[in-house]
Amino acid sequence: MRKQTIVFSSLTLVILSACALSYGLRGRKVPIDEYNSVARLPSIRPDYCETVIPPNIAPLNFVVQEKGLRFCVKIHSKQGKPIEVFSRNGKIVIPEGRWQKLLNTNRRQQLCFDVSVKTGDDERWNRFQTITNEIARENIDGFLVYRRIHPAHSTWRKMGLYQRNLQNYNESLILDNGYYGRGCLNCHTFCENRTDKMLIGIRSSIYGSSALLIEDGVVNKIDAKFGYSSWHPSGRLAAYSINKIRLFFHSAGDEVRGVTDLDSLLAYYLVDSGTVKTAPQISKKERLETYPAWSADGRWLYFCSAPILWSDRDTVPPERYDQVKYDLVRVSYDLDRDEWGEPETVLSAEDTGLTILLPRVSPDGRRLLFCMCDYGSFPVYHDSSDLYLIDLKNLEETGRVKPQRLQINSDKSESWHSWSSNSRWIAFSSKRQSGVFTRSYLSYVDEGGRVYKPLLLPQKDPTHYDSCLWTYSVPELVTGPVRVTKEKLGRVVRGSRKISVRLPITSATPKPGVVPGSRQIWQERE
Amino acid sequence: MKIRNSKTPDSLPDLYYPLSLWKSEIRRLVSSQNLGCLIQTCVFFLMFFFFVWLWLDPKLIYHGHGQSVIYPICTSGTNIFADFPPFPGKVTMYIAARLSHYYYYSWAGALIITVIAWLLCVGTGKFITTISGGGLRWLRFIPAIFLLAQHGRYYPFLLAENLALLIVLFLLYLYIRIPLQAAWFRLVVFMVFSAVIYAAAVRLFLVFVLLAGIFELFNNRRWLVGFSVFFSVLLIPYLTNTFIFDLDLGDAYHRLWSFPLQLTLKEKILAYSFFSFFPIAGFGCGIWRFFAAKQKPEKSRSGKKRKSSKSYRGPRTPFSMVAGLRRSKIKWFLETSALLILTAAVVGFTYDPIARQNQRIDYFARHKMWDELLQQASKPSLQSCDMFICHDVNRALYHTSRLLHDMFLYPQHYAGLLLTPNKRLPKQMMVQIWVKSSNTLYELGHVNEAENASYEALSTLGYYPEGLQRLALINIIKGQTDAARTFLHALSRDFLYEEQADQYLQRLETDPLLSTDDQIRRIRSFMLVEDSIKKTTPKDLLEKNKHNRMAFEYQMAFLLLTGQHNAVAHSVKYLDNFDYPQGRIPRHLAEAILLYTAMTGKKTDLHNRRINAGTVRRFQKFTQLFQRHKLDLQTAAKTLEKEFGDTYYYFYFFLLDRSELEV
Repeated sequence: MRKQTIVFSSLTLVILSACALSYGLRGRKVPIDEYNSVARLPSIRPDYCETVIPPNIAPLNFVVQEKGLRFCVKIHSKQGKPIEVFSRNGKIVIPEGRWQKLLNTNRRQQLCFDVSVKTGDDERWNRFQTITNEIARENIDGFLVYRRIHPAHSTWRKMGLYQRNLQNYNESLILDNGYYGRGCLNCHTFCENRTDKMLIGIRSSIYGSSALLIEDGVVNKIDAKFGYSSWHPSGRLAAYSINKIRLFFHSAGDEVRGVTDLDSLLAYYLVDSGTVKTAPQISKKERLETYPAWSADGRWLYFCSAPILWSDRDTVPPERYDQVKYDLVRVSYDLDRDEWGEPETVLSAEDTGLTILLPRVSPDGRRLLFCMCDYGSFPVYHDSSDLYLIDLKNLEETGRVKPQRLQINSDKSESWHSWSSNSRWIAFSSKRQSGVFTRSYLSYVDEGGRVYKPLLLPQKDPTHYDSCLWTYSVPELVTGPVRVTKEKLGRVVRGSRKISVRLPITSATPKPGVVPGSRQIWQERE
Repeated sequence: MKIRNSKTPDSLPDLYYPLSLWKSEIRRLVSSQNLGCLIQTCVFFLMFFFFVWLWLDPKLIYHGHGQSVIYPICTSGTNIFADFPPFPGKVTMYIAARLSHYYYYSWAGALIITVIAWLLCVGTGKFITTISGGGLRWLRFIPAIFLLAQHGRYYPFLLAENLALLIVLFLLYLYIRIPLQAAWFRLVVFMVFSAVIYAAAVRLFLVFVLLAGIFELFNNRRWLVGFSVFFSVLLIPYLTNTFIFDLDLGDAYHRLWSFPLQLTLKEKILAYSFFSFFPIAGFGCGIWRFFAAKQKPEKSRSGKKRKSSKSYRGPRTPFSMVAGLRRSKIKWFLETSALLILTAAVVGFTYDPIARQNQRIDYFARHKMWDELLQQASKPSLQSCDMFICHDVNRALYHTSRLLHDMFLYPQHYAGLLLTPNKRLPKQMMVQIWVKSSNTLYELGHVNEAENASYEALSTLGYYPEGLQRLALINIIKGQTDAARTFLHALSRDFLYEEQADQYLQRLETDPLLSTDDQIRRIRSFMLVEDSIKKTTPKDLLEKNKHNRMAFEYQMAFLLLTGQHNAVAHSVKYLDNFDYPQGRIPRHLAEAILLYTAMTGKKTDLHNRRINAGTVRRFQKFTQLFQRHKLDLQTAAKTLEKEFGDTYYYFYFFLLDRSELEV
């Protein structure tokens, strides 16, 4: 018995020692004292070079795209202990804790990546030029909320609204269409980047179209089809569009899909009274109004407006659909009196030659970010869609605007942009990586309005996007997580309790009481 | 040998086997009677395996995935628990999804089906013998026969449900075996097991409850436990739904008996018969045991300890009265023969040869085995007009350069040529249309339409490897190599397509546009450049590239199928753009020209080509005979079919469906 115990103990000890040894050797650091210098930057994927990094972002893991057998990346800044990461396959996975510490202690400093590659065991290391990035002083909002969906045409299966903790890689589901019979989840809107007050648009052939209103953990279903919406900063009302959107297909060209609004108007939902209203200034019969966006002080509602070029509002696509160009318009609003002023054109499509879409005002009220593309109302389907910035201070002072095309644009579509609560960061969707899959990018905006090179939303596995068939659209920066559970949201969607509202009647208004068929309820994607 | 509770001497099953009894148990197993039983089982399942492998051919079921939405096929990166909210039955569904991959290889699929059948046989045997007290063991083969019948019809197979059944039988076996006497304890265990089954194998939950209830009533004679078990049908879905899932209450109960698949009435009957077999058999065995117990000698009821006997095999039943016959080889032979005859009869009765042939045609089309496809399609049993078969046949005819020569050898309908999506069609059919038409549209060079159809199929099916491949190629053609790489990387996560995807990825490294690839070059040259939002036809493709032979032949085929022989007659000049034999006109075009001339009296410019003399003679003969029967079209159709059934003019006069024509 004793003998057996000794043998067993010895064996256990040997196994444990072997495990400890192999673990210790696994990430063995080799000091790189001697190396050959390579006079160029290394190729890394995603491109995290010469950009500005939020100090509270998750580690920017990447792949070194250089030929080699061993890879070493030394990450260092002015203060703090450098981080060294060794790899045999080029995947650089940075330890989260040490990364956060390094970034936090080096705000407004440079962050350097020294990439070294060894092509053979007996070879010397090759060190490339140092990749430098700057760590911003200001944090980015802690969470990014986006919709994940496959590039869909007229059918879909899965789609969900997810929130991503930007300080790490945790992604959690807010609501999935599996909770209500494969319906559609469209836009999500937050009041001043907060998640305690938000709207989610729902369309379902089973449960009808509705909007979920979430206020301090209480979820209500508004019995109305919300299109693109925007919260008034007071949180007392939300402006939204009602769109008669139709999808069609192109026989040639990179993008097969096309989208047109046969008709649209703006309306607004008053939270306290639970009523929906509209006004002639924002719902003209001969014009298409869409993409509402409140100014930071709540005095102005910015939106896009275009003349309707067709008389037949049922033919898809309508005549001259490719000549529809939206102006950027604003209208004043008095919240206390519930009164609208006269609309004024901020920037006309005639001047730009392009259609102006998706205006978003920075929370500090200083700037307005929007996109412009060839024609139409759905920028994500147009490679020509680029981001532009307007200085609103200039508008107030001179009454004129000079749109600035951002340097961060690519030759593919840029759209679905949002501001961080401190107005220093923007998140936007871009198809620059492949031309097909929309990904989320983050960019720093300095006080002078310069927008810096964007960084792709980092993932724990740096090869995540290589085989990712999801599109990440409508990225909205929010300060905290959505705390309402998906089960609760799902229950409300399926439930019969709802806030009934009477909608202003136009051709874009869905008929009351009609649950539209799955093919009619929703047309555009991404 | 068996330790029994003295209070319930006849009812409780064996509780445990002391180690010392294993020897005798093994001896019992290899006794001549059990050996016979073992051989019988082996023979049956060996034949079962070979029949499934060589005849039913599970790869046909695998390739049916594109046709019938079954399971979201899991690839290595699929996070099944994160991607979707949990729902009852998700576990078995995903195990089925994983396993269904292996149906790609017929032998592996046959092995899976056989193992499931064998495990069902074992489970059923254990349950039946427990309930009946030893008799009616032959019933254990019934589930395997049902499985054969199920697979013989090639409908969306119920792999998840079959796996769920295995889980049910396993947990039932555990439940029967637990050495617990206290009623409350048995109920607690039952509740836990049923919650597990509701969560993992919801559609067989009712079966579990019924079987457990039958066991408690007939074997244990515990009426309270038995009825409490039945009552749990109401309780467990409610509790599980409250604490784990988040379904509507109605949905939580509805899932107990509803199949997610669209089955025909016959298939539904088959499926429900299969799953209800277990409770019915259990109940029957219980009744059997009940009546058998009445015939037992008094002394066994009086509480006297029964004499332990190695040959004891349950209570004396009418079945055991012929015990003398048991050991005889004749009985073994008769039993085995009866089993095989019964199996053959059930399979023969339920087998769907049309479904098999359709599956084979689909398989051949996917693998571009054109000759095999045409051979299969020419079988007399397939002489009905199925839109999808028409489509595959025409594609095969084009690829074997026979479309304009032999298309009327096969049943034809214009709707099958390009499979135009129609919103009125059910979703199931739309998926088939997207899957099939994406291939044809791609080959035609209608890249955007093919892309659209591939996306639609991918969105509906959730995962569709051929679609990923198609979209990768389309993006290469369009010069969007990065998007192509994304699709190929996604495809490479599927072990069945990994090698293929990696090969493309390697080629893209050196030639990002695959400019040296003939197929890519060809389709790139056919691809439309000028955008249009109107529906594009092969004619538009032909205008883009006059050498697009497939577009030309499909355009001609469309004109023929819609009875537009006048347009065909004016298209002879286009033949010069292709490598048709000098001076010749494809047979069906010649037939259309002859008909056009005969009907209008106008001459057609044949552009230095001539119509085969035999074709002319045949047409003249047809005209004469047709004139003779003109007043009675039905008789004419019958009379002329044999000789002229493969001609355009026969199709035009007797088969063209003018009521649906929207030309």
